[in-house]
Amino acid sequence: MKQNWKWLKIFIGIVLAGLIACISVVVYIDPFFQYHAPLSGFPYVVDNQLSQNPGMARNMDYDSVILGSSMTINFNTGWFNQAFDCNTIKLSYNGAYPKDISNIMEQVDGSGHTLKNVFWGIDEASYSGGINETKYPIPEYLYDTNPLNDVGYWINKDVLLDYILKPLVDPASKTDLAEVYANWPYFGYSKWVVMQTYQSPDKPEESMDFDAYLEDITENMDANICPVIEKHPDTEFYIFFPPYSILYWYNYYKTEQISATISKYELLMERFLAYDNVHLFCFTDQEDIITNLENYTDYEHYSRDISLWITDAMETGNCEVTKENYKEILQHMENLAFTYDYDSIWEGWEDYLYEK
Amino acid sequence: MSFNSYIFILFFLPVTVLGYFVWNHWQKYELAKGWLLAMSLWFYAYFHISYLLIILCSICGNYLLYYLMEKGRKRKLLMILGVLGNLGILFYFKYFDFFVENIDQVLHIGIPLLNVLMPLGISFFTFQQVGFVVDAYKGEAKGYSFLDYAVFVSFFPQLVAGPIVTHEEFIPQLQDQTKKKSNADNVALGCMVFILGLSKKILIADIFGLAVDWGYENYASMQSLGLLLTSLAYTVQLYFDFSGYSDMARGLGLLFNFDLPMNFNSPYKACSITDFWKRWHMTLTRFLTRYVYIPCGGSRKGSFRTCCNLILVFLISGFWHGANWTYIIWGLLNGVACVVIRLVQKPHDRIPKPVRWLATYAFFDLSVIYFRSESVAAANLFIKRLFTAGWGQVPVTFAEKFQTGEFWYALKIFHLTNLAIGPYLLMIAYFLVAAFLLFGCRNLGERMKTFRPTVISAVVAAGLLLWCLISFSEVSTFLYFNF
Repeated sequence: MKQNWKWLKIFIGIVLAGLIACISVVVYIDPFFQYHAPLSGFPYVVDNQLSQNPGMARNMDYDSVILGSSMTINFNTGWFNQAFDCNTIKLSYNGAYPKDISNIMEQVDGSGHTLKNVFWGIDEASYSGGINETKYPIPEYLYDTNPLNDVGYWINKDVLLDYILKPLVDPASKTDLAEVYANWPYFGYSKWVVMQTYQSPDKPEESMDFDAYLEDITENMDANICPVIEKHPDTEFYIFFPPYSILYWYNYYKTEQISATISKYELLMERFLAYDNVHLFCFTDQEDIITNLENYTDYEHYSRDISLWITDAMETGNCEVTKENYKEILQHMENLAFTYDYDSIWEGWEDYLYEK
Repeated sequence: MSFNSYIFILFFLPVTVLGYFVWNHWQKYELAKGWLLAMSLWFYAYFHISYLLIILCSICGNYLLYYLMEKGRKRKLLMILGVLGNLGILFYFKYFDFFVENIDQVLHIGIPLLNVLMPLGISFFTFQQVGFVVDAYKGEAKGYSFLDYAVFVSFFPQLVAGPIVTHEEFIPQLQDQTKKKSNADNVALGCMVFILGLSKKILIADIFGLAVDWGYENYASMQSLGLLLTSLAYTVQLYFDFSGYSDMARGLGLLFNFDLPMNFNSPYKACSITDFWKRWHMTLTRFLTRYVYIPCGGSRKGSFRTCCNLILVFLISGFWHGANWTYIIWGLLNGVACVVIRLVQKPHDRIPKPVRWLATYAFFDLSVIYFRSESVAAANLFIKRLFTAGWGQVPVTFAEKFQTGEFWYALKIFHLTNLAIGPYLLMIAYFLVAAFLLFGCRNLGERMKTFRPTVISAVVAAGLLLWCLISFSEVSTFLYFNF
């Protein structure tokens, strides 16, 4: 019996010491920035949007944010800092749904930061889902204010190995915070790369009604998007529709969704243009860019050069959408989508096609 | 809540154990039992609040029947009512949709499915209570209070995945005054057994499970070697997962001074399939023997009847595991194998032991392909490809499932990842370790008898617990929860 008590004391002592050591290291270094800003000397690895964005939103020093999907991850925050004289942080989520945007803006608001600018990419395709849907399940314990459920963060093998040990052993893996998440692409940018992976969708049995998505988009705007803008009347919102490649339009052409898509853009534009502090930009119909597949790594993701060009455009007001010109832009978009010579895309590239 | 969760290990378990012994220390024995009942119900409701209603109704209904039987009223009718009622609830939640789907495939009349959420562990507590009702009818369960009975059914270590504990091995322990005081011997041993069970689950079964999931998703494009490793990996996962859970249950029982029955006795060391079933899920085999095989005549009514009884028992066992033809075929295969072994017992015993062992393991390995596959057609294709798809190579993606963070860094430090065999090193190491634990070691039940509370064992236990705790971030679920 006595020996067993001794055994228990040693056992409990080691477990408690191990837990305290583990928790102390995680809380001190805080690789997900849940409790404090980054330590100056530690080579932080930032590559997990779902887990690291909420902490960055709460505890980093910034006055402007980049929001949106993978269409926004190529931006260098320094470009915005220079162009708009601000201190920007990137809070992108790959494939972001409106609820993802709403969630991360709750974190920003809860942190007490005052926002000067929001740079925000809008993907119409992601705006017609459920109003409470996130693209991926989020680790909710990192988004709430209950410290007790952070146990999954404190005692976590991945945190210890990948976010504390790895950067210590290999400081070169440190992330440049201006380039957070800018890890796209794996295969470079060229028409050859695009054609290697592109598969066109099947033709549907029936074409989509022009108003097929409008109700869902309206619900998402009301629940997740407009409240963000209304909550920040003193913030300048630079909102843009990204320049997907011409294959994006070809997909809609083939699936007979062009009219439904133009209706989506129309609704989104009208909703955003209702706010004086929104500067809306549309790059989706920029023919020179989107028809040059050398700018892309797949049918929608564009290169850093294009991201830089977008930044410049937002600074200079190029491609800005106004109440006066938005109908004209929509008409241009529709004409382009319906009348573009899509066959020209494949001229000389037939061997690279899965199926046209 | 799950055993492999932070809330269970860091909060629920210490509080429950502490509360139980504090009440007992103050000689509030009924309150101690009430505490155990309340915490067990919380444990169960944590999975889904609606489960609480189901288990409470089940406990109250069965105790009412027991109470009436104790009063001596229409005992046989009450027993039949109890058996049918318990099986009826199980049928409703687990088998109704299966029957409807199959009937509809023949008749095409469009009967709607229930799509009802099946309560975890319902198969376990149903069988437990069927056994109790039958024993009560036979007069073998006398003088149990409602609280004793409710704790017996709901006791959290065995509630959702067994072992299937009988009333006569649990309730007397619950009533035993000598077990009301915390015992350092049992606490130390209980901690050790729980942690070793947890390690089996987290550090072995879940890792093999990743490879198995990938293998069963891609079996149609894999060749024989990959398929063989997938099937072997599943036998490893299945054993370490389920026996790990059973060990955890035993360890937890010991923390409360309760001795729960052993559920696995090195089944993969068996040299015949009949021997295998005496070592695998022993409490289920015991239940089916006691309440199906023997009442049907057992081996007392001639060879033919014995064979029929064996097939029946294994059919029920297969169907108990899941409402799918795959489980039924798995059960049937094992039943037929037991019958064959029984019929050729003497020549079988003359075969060299290593050959019998290999044949037994190979048979079980093949049979669990049905157990794991989503459909009979998928299992058939898996087995066909296993023998005809060409030797081939082990897919790198399959091997990469074994590249756990901690060991992968070790390989990197020694620059072993650059070798051509690099991606396969950890897979080979995991299989070798599993083989050693399965075939070269005494099992946990045997080790419990010789446990010595040394400093080294305390360090090992603490290290393993910490390793498991930091590994919880990886998603894992117990295979046997849904049976």
